[in-house]
Amino acid sequence: MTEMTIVAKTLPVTPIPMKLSDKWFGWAIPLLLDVGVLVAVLASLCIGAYPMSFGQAARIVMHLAWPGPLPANPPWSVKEITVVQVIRLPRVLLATLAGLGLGISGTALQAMMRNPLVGPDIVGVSSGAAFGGVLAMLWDFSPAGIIGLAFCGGMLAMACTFSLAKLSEADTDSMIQILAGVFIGAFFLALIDLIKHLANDAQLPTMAYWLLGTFVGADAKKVAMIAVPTLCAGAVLMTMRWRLNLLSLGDIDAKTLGMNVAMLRWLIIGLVSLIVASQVAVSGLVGWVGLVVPHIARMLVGPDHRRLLPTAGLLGALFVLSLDDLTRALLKAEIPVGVLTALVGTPVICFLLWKSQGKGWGCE
Amino acid sequence: MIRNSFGLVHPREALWLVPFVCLGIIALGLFRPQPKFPAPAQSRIVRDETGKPVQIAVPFRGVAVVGSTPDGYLMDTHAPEFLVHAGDPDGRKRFAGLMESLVYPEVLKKDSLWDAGLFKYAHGPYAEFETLLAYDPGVFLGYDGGFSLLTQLRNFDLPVLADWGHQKTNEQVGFSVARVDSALIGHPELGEARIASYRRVFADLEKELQPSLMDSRPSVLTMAASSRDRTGVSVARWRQDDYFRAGMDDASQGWAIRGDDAERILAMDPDIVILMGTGNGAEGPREFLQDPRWFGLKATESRRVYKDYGVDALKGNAGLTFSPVEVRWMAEIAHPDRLQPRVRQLSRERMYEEFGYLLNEDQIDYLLQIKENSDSIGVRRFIRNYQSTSYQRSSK
Repeated sequence: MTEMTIVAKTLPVTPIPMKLSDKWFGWAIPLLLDVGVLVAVLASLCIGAYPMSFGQAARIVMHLAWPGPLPANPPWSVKEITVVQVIRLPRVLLATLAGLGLGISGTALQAMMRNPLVGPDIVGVSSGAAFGGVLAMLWDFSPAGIIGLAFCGGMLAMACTFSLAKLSEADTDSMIQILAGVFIGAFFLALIDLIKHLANDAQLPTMAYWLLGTFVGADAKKVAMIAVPTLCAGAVLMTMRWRLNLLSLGDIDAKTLGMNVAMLRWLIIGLVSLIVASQVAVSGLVGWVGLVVPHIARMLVGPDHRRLLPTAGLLGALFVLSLDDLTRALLKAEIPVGVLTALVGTPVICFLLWKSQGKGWGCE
Repeated sequence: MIRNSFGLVHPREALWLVPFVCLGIIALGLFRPQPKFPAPAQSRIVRDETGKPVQIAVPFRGVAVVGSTPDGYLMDTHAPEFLVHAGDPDGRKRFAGLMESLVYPEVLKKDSLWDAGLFKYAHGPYAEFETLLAYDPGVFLGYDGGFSLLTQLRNFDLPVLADWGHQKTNEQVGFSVARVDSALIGHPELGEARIASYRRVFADLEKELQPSLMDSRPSVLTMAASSRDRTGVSVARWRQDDYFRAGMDDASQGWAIRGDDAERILAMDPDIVILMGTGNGAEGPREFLQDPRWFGLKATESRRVYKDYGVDALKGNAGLTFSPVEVRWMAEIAHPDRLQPRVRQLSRERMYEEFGYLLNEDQIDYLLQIKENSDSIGVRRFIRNYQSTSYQRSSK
C-alpha cells in the first residue's frame, strides 16, 4: 500500500483530454443505472397478487427506510404494509443484492485472471460454496452456519483451482486456470451429489430446490445474510477498481508498478468467495450472471474497471431482479431463477461469442 | 469532489455509492417490528383444536381454506355459502375426485373459489399469501403443511383455525376438525352429532363381530406396490386401531419397514393384503396376483388381495362418514362367516344420513371397487342384489 502511494504521488500525471462521448458515458451510464436499479426495486414491489400502486409502494419503502417511528395514522392499510415489508421487499432485495454481488464478482474474477470466460461458476467457487451449503444443511446448521460453511467451501474451491493451475506450472495461462476450475467444479458437484444421497427424506427436497437457485422464502434474516457480505465486500472491491486495471495488465507489469500481486489476488479471492458464498447460502446456485453481465457492461462502458465494476454490479442487479419478476409475475409459476439465468445467459454468451468472432475477448 | 488516500476523486467515480447506501438503508427497514392486524370491532370467540381462543369478526365474512381442500369443512358444516376461497387449482383437481364434489358440485364449478378468475397468477407460497390477504376472509382454515402459511398468518394476529399437526390419530383429527368447524358456523351440535353417529356404527360392528373374544385373527397388510419399481413398497402403519376393530392382526407389527423393502413383505406373509393408491404404476389386485414377486404369499395363494374401499374418492377428510364403513368392509372380508353383508347398504345410509345425498349403484360399485376386486375371493357379497344365503348357511 505504501509503495503504491509513493508511486501514485511521484509519477507525473499527464491529463488525457476527454472526448464528449466519454464524458457522457462517464456520467450518464452510472447515473442511469443507479436510477434504474432504484426504480426497478420499487416497480418490482408493485408486482403480485395483491394490488399495489407504484406511489404507495414508494411511500411505504420511504417510511420504512426513514429513521424514527412509522406514522400513527399511515396512508396505507395493514395489508399493504404487510405485503411490502414482509412478502415482497425481502424477495426484491434478495434478488437485487444477489445480482449485484454476482456482477461484481464476475468482473473482479475476469480482471484478476485476465480471462473474459471466467465467472464464479466456471472457477468452481459456486460449486464449492454450494457444497458447503448442502453440508451445513445435512448437519442441520443454523443460517449463519450455512453461510460460514458455504464461504469455506467457496474459498477451498478457489484455492484448489489456483493450486492446481500452479502445480501445472502454468498458473498464468488462462486456459489452464479455466480447466482447473472446471475439474474442481466437477469434483465439488460430485460431492454435492454424494451429500444429496446421504440426506434424509426431509432434507433432500429442500436441498434439491435450493440448489436450483430460488428466492422463494425470502425474509429479513436472509436479506441481512446477503446484504452485509455483499455490500461490505463489494464496497472494498469498488475501492480497488483501479488496482484491477493494473492487475489486468499482467503480473509483471503490475509488480513493476509496485503492486503486491499475490496479496491482492488472495484478497480478491477472499472477497469474491465471501460475496458468492452469501449469495449461494441464501438463494442456491444462480449461474451465468457473473459470466454474462460483465460482457454486457464492457460493451456499454469499455474495459476500464473504474466504470466497469459498478456498471456490471448494477446491470447484474437489474438482470436478476428482472428475471425474478418474470418468474413470479408473467410465467404463472415459480420457476427457479437459477434455471432462468441459465436459459437466458447461454444464448446471450453464444451471441457475444459469435459477435466477437475471436477479436472481442481479448480487447482488454 | 471526494478525497481518498490517492487524491481527489471526481463525483462521477463515486456514483456507485448511491445504490449501495440506498439498498443498505432499505434493507434496514425490514427489521422494523412486523405489522399486526387489529382485532375486529365486533367479534365472537371460537376455540381452536388446542383450546386457544380465536377472535372471529362479526358479521362473519367467510372461510378461506389453506393448504388443503374444503371437503372436511363442507362435510362438517354443510355451509358452502361461507366459502370465499377453496384452494389452488391443484386442490380443485383433488376435490373433483372426492365424494364431496358430488354433493357440492357448485363449489367445484365456481372459478372464483379456486384462484382462477380473481388474480392473474396464483402459484407458489409467495402468491398464495398475497391472494389470501386479498380475499379478506373471516377465518383461515386448513392444514399447515409445506410452506407453513398458517403459521405465517398467525404471526400477524389473523384468525386461523384447525392446524391439526399435533393430533396423533386420524380419529382424533376427525373429531377435532368436526368440533372446530361446527363451532365456527355457530352450530357445535352438528359436530357432536357426527361424532356420535360415527361411534354408533363402530358400536354396532363390535356388537356383531365381538373382536375381543376372538382366539385367532387373520393377519393383514395395507400396502402399495409398483410394477415399475420391483423393490418399492409402501406400508400403511396407521391402521392398528382399525385392524383390531375389524378382527384382524397387523402383519407389519414388529417389522421395521423402509420404503424400498419388498423382501420383508414376503417374510411377513400376511393372510390378507389390502392395496392402496392408484397413481404412479400402483398395482391393483389383478396385477398383484400375477406379479411373480408375490407368488409365495399366503394372500396370493388364497386370492385374498383387495383394492381398498373408497380409494381416491375418500382421500380427503371423509373419515367420520366412511371410515366406519371401511372398517366394516375389512371385517366382512376377514370374517364373512360372522357378519351380515351390510357394507353396500351402510355406504348408502351414511351418505344419505350425513349429506342427504343418495348414492346410485354405480357410485357404490366404485366405492367398493367391485371391478378391480373381481378376481379376489369373497367379494361377491358386495355386488348388487346379493342374497346373503352363504352367511345364513354358515351361521347355521
